[in-house]
Amino acid sequence: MPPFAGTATGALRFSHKPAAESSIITLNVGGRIFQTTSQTLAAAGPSSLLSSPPPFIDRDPDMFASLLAFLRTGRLPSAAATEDISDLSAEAEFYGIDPRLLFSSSSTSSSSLSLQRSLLLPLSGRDPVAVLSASPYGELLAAHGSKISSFDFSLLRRKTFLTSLPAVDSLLSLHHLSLAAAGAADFPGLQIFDLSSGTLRKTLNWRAHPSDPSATVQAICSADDRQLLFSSYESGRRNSSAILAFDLGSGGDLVPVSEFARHEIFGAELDSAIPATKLKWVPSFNLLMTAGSHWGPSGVVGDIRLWDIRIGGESSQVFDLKEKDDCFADATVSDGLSAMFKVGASSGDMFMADLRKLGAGNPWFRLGGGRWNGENSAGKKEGRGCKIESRGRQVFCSRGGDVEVWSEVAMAAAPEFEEKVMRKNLMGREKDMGGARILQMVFGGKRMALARSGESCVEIWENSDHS
Amino acid sequence: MANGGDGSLPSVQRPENRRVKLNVGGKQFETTVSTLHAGGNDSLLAALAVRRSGDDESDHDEPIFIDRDPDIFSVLLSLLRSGHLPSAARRRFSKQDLTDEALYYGIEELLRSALSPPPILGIDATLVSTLIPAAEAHPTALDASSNDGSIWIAHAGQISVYDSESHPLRHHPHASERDHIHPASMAGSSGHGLAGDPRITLLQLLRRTPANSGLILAAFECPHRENCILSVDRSTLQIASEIGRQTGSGSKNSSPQKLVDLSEAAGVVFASAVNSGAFGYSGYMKLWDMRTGKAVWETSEPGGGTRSDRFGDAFAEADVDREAMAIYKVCWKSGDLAVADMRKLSEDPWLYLEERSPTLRNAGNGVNSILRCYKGQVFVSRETGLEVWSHAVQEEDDGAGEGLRRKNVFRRNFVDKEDDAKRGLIRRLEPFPTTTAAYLTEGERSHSPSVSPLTASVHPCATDFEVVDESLREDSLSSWSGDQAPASTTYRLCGGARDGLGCTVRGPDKAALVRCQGEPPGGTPGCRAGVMPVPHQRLTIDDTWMTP
Repeated sequence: MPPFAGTATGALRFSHKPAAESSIITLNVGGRIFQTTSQTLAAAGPSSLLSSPPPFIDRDPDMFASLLAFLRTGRLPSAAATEDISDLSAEAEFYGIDPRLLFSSSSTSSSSLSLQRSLLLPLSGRDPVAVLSASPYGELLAAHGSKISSFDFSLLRRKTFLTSLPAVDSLLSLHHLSLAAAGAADFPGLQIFDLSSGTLRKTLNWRAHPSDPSATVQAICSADDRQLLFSSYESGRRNSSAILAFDLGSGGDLVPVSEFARHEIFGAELDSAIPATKLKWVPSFNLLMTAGSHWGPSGVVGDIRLWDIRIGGESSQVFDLKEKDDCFADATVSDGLSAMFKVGASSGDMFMADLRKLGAGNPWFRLGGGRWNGENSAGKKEGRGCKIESRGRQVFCSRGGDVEVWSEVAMAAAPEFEEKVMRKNLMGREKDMGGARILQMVFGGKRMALARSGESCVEIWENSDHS
Repeated sequence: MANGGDGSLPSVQRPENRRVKLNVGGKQFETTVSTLHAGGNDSLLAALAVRRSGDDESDHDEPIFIDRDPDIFSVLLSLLRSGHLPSAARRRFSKQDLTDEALYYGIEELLRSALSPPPILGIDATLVSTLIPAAEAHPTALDASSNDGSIWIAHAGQISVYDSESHPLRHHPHASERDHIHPASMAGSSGHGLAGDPRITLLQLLRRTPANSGLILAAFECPHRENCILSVDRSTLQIASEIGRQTGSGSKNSSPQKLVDLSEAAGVVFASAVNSGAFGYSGYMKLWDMRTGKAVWETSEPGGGTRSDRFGDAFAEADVDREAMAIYKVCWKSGDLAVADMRKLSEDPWLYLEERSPTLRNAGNGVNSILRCYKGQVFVSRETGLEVWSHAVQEEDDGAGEGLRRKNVFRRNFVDKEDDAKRGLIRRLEPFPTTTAAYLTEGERSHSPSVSPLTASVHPCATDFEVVDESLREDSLSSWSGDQAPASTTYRLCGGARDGLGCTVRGPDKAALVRCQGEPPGGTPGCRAGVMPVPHQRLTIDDTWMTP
C-alpha cells in the first residue's frame, strides 16, 4: 500500500494557493521552531498527534526534523540514516505515525523483485525452522519447534514465545491485528496468539461429529480484504476434512462464519478425503484456492479447487480439477497474472493455467522451452519437494536449495494470440546458490524470507537495487 | 518565530506543563517542568525547575544556563522525555560519559534503569559472549545477584567484576590484605562453640522486604564434618542465629550445598546436599524454620518416600521456585524433572514432568546436572546441553460441551546450540534477579574454562566496577547493591572459601570492609572487624566509586 499514492501533497498545496497562507503551521519541538502546512501534517493520518498539533511538543527536534521531511516527501532523508531505525520508529509511534510506513517501500506488488541474499536471522535454541509467515509490511514470524519468533519490520527486534504445540506446522501472521495463528499436523486445534504479549488468545477447534476428537490443522490463510481467516482441518482419525472461515473483524472474536469443502471417506473412495494442505486467497477474483495431494504407491493424486465463499455451502465450489497424470507437487495462484501455476510432481516442469479461461479440458499449459518429457516422466519424481509461490507478476519456484523465478516478458502481443510469455531465471549470484533444501518462501515488504531444511536460521533476501 | 513561543503560553496551563528554557553550553533547549521532574524530585534538573517557578513571570524568557556539554544533554533530555535512551546515543557516547553527566544532573538512577536489560527468557536466549579472566582463568564461583546486572567471578583468589555488557575485565591481584587467622571456633548467638576450625562451604544472601534487615546465610563445616547454617545480620555483621546444626556423619546430615532463602514467603530456609558415589547419588532436602532452627520438612533419597518404581533414581540437583513455591529436582538416572508443591509437602510430593516431544525424550540423564529456577522457568543443564522448561497455555476441548479448559503445560527447549554444548560441562549457573543474563562456568572438559553470559537479544550496561579479593580460592560468592539509599549505590561482596577461614565483605573501594571470622575460644561471639571497624554507616559508600 503506497502511503501517499494519489494524494500528492504538493499538488494539493499549489492548487489551493489562496488558502495556503492560512494553513501554515508553526510548531515548537523541544525549543526549535518548525513551519509547515496542515496538508503536510495531514499525511500523518487522522489519529496522529500532528493532525491537531499542540503549540509546543516536548520531544527531540532532530528526530522530528527527519519525520517532518518524511511527511513532506514521502521518504526519509538520507541524513536520517545516521539515526537508528528503532529510534525513529519509537519517535514515529509517539507522534502517532505508523512506523511501518517509514520503512516500507513505495514499490507495490506489481513491481518485480531482483533479490539477493542479505542476511541470516538466527533463531534461539536447537530446533530447526519449520515454517514462516510474513506480513505485507515485512514483519516476519518463524516457527521452530514449539516456539514462534516474531521479528518486527526492521528485523532488528526479536520476540519469542512458546506454544503448547509439540511442533508448529502451519503459521500465519496477522500483524495488522497483532495476532498470529498456528497449527500442527499432529495436535488438535488452531491456536491464536496475541503477538504483543505472546499469550494464547483462543483455540479454534473443529470436529466432524460431536463424538470425534478435535481436528488438526493442515493449512491457514487469510483474506485481509474480507476480514476472514480460513483454516483447513483434518479429523484426528483422518477420515474427514473441512475448511472453516472465521471472522477476523468485529473485535477479534474469531467466530466461525461458514464451513465448506467438507469431505468424508466412505469405503475405498480414497481421493475424496484428501485435506487441503494449501490455501490461497485471490482477492481480485474473490476466490479461495485449495489444493491437496496424496503421495501413494500408485503415484500422486490430488485436486485443486476454487471456491467463491460468497455463495456459501457446498455449492460455493466453482471449479474442481482432479490431478492424476503429473499431479502438482505444489500449486499457487498469481493475482497479478490471473493464472494458476503448478510444478508437476513427476516431470518437475512448470505449468500455468489462465484463471479467466478455465474450461472442461486440461487447462494446464507447460512453460519453458526444452524437450517435452511428459510421456516418459511417469513414475519419476522430478518435482518432489518443489515449492511454488507467487508475488506480484512473478512466480518463484524452489528446487532443492535453489530458487528460480519466472517473470512475464513484455511482448508486442498479437491480438489473436493472447498467451503470456514467461521466462525463467535462477535467483541469486553463484555464491548464494545451493544450500539445504528450501522448505518455504514467504514475501513481505521488500523482502523474501527462506526456510531451509534443518537450519535454525531464516535467510533474508532483499532487493539488490535498494541501497 | 513570532507565534512559536510566547504567544502560545495560555494562562490555563498547569504548572507541571509549564515550559522551561535551558541553555546548556550555548545550545538552546526547551522542555517542560514535568519532563525535568522525570529524573526524580531531588535531581539537579528538578531543583532548577522548582527554582524557576518561584521567580516572577518576567524572568521566564531568560533561559537557565548550565555549563555542560550540550550534545550529551540532548541525549539525557531524550531519556527524560521518553523514558528510554536513543540507541544512537549508545554509539556516540560511552557509558562512562553518560554516567558522569547523569550523575551531574542527578538522574543516574533513571539512566541505570534505562540501561538495564529485560529478564532473561530461556526460549529466546542466545550465548552472546564468553568471559575469560586474564589471569588464573579457572573460575571457581560466580555471582550475579546484584540488581545492576554485574557478574562477579572468583578465580583462584581473585575476584573480577564485569558489568552487564561483559565489559572490560580488570583485576588487581593483591594478597596483602589476607589476615592470618588461627584455627578457631565459630560461635553462634547461643554461645555454643563449634570445635575445630569452621570453614564456609556455602554463602547465601537473604533478602527481606524491609531492606535493611537482610541476612547473610552461610553454611559452615568443621574438619570433623559437623556443620551448621549461620545467619549473619548484614548491617551489623553480627551472627543472628544458628540454624540446623548437624553431625555430618552421613549423607543425610552433611553440610548443605545449596541454600535457598524462603524467609519472606514461608520463614524457612531450603537446604540440600547431594553426594555421588559408586552406587549413584544420595542426598537430602530440608526446610529449616528460621525462628526455631528446626527442620520442618525433610526428605532423603534414595529411600524415604521415594516410590518403588523410582527407587535408586535419587535427585542430582534441586532448586526452589520462590514465586511459585515449588521445589524442582532432577533425577540422576532417568534425568526426569519432578516438581513438589511446597504448600502440600508430604512423604512423596513429587510430580514427574512428562516429555511429549519424542526427539527430546532421551535427552540424557541427570549426572552432573545443574538446576536453577528463574521467573517461572526451570533451567536444567546436562551433559547434552542446557535446556529450559517453560510454561505454555493450552486449551483443551474435552468434547463434553463444556467449552475449553485452560491449563498450563511445561515445554522443554534447548537454550544452547549443539556447538555451545561441546564447550564443556556447566558447573555453575546463575540467573540474574532482575536483568537479562544467566551465566555459567564451564570446566574440566573444556580447555578454556569460561563464563558465558546468556542473554536475550538486548543487554545494555551497568557500571564499571572492580574488586579483587584475597588470594584464597573462593568457593562461594554473594554480592548485593545498596538497598537503603538507592541513589548512593553501595556495593558489597561476600566471599567464602572452602579451604580458607571466614568470609569477607568488601566494598567498592576494593578494600575488605570487614571479615566475619572465627574467634579464639572464649572470645566474644560474633564477628570482628578485619580491615576497618564497621559501624553501619561506614558501609554506605558514597558516589565516588563511579570514577575510580
